[in-house]
Amino acid sequence: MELYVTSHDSLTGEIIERPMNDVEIAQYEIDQATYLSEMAEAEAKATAKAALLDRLGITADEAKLLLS
Amino acid sequence: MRLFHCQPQSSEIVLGFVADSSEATGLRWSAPSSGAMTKIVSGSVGEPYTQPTSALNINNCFSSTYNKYIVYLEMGGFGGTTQSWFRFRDNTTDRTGDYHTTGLQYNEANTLTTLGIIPSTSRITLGTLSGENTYTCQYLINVYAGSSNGSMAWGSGITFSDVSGPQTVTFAGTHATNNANGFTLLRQDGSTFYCKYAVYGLEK
Repeated sequence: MELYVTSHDSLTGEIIERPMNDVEIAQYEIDQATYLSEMAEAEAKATAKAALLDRLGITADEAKLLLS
Repeated sequence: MRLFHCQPQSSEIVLGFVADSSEATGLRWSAPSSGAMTKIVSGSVGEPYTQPTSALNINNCFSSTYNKYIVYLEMGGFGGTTQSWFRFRDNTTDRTGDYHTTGLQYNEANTLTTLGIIPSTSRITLGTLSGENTYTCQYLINVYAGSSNGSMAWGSGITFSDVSGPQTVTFAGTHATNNANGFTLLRQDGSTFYCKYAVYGLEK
């Protein structure tokens, strides 16, 4: 998949459409890795939370009530 | 409703009090305000249902002329249903780290999705953008930028997911970028999108 960038310069009005350069592609790859890592971390937290609620034998709403 | 345009006839009439009075009461004539909100740039990339772009950079829209801005976006996505992201730019380079953000997204079942609640992340998440390009999302973003006190963006919008219908979204984020002069829009997975955009500067 070739990634394209559109740039609009507000001062000159110039609009350029071009393929992403090497720096932008490298950032794109970092973004993918970072996002997947963040999602995995969030999912692990959610799983741990569900397991804890299960051990306690209460629902998420009941846990909120306890902490309110 | 009828509008009347009145011309002052003398300084006493204009000011509503005599020349030697020390009391500043009564009506006062003043020049109409102008330039309170000024369009800086607008345009579109791609059109609905055609092949658009993977990233949109708006350069030189923030400057020392203003420090508060309104950004209006109308976006539609192609490909999968993924997040759309906002980043500040500085001298035509994306600022890709150290954002502090929060965001909430509710769908029509009132189910909450939290967005970008990470102590330090690489972007401000605007919400989930459907891969069905007929679902147009709209965002209204307040921006504080172009000053030496960092940059902020916060706003709200309506997004559509092809799996959960309309969603309301609110988001906010800060970045340490001083004198940010633009922003970029992109999607989490590099999928393409079309976008109509307008940036307005608010008088200081």
